[in-house]
Amino acid sequence: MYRRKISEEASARADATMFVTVIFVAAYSIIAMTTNPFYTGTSVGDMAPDLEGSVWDGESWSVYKLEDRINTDWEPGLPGTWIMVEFMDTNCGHCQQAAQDNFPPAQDYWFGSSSPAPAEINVEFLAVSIKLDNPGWKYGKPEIQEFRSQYSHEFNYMDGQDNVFRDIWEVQGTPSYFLIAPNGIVKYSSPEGGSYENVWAAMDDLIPSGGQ
Amino acid sequence: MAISADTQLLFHWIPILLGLTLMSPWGESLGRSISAKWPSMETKRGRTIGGMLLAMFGGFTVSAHTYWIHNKAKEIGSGDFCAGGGIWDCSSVIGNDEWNTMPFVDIPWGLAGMLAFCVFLWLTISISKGLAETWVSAYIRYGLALGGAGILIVMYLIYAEIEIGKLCQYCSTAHVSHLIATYGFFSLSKMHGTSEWGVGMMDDARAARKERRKTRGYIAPTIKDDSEE
Repeated sequence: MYRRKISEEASARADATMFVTVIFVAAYSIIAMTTNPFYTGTSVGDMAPDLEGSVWDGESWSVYKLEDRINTDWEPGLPGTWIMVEFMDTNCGHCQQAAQDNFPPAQDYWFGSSSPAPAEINVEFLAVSIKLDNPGWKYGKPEIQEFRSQYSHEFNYMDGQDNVFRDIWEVQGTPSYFLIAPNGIVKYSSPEGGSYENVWAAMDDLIPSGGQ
Repeated sequence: MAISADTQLLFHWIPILLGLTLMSPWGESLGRSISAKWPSMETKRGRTIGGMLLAMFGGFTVSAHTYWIHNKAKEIGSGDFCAGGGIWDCSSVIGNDEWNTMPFVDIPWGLAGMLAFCVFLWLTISISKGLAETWVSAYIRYGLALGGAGILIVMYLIYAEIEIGKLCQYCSTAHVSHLIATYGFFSLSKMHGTSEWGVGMMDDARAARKERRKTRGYIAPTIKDDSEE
């Protein structure tokens, strides 16, 4: 007669594995189904990291806090502010090119009376001046002020030349663009790329227009 | 009616305190009263293992709750899930991005706690079901090592709470549970190899075999005897 072999060792550990797996999967599933966390980061879908410093608005330097413009309870249809953040270096050729070619028409489009955004939606640009520190390049608040007026920009320029926010936002090169929804979630990140050709295309598509 | 965060915490304390009582000298009478259902509760070894399992289960559930609070705080951008204002304010600790994840691996402490208590539970359940096996002493050592490493982590987290200036009642509950579990492994290591470990072991083994016979649906194959034909 054949006799089935029973392994006591395997039985003890299999029972333990089954119990532990069941309670872990059950607990993890409940947490996954009842929460939807946003982690701070600069990838699309993340909560934008903090951005705080002094900004030049064309007349004076004042304190700017990104957090003050964020409403974490915001949902589409509610009033809010979309913010396009550009990390740039006043000496970088590509930044100067973008400042000359892209920003004047963009600010006319978004800030003017013909802005496609509905009345309750506000659109802001924020340029953060960082320091790539190539030899011979000049930095400082006067350079930021001069850069802004040179291209007739109408938005705030933040002094980020201590590079604290360059590191927090993990900016690898300039110019880098991020589009932040009113609830603080990153909707477009140029370092990450994505399905949009550039930040302007992302803004056109993601910011609701008055007709909607 | 919403239950306050401190009241919710009591649900985690119930198994922990029950486990601690079972492991303490007062656990003897409690063990006797439930020994009809669980015969191993008659022995000190059985009460220690039972108490450890309860304390670890409480530690697991409070860790899961902490992880839930962490995620919820990330979802809505604030963390009014715990009593605030006083020194006991878990929102300020779990919601603190500088301290609320494990260094290097970057996973939330609640999830780390869930995983740690799962390992503890796995070791303890394995020991409870294989009391006479050769690997039991090794498993007790693993439990002790994990407990010791965990105590260092608990100390690090207490340091974090001091830095933040607030105490997290949920985290502290998990810490207490961890200490009880570590003490449990220490007690088992003292018992293992002594006569205390063997008390009632045959009864346990018999009960386990009986239980297995009762629940399994295995039908042993038989071979016809040639002589019968």
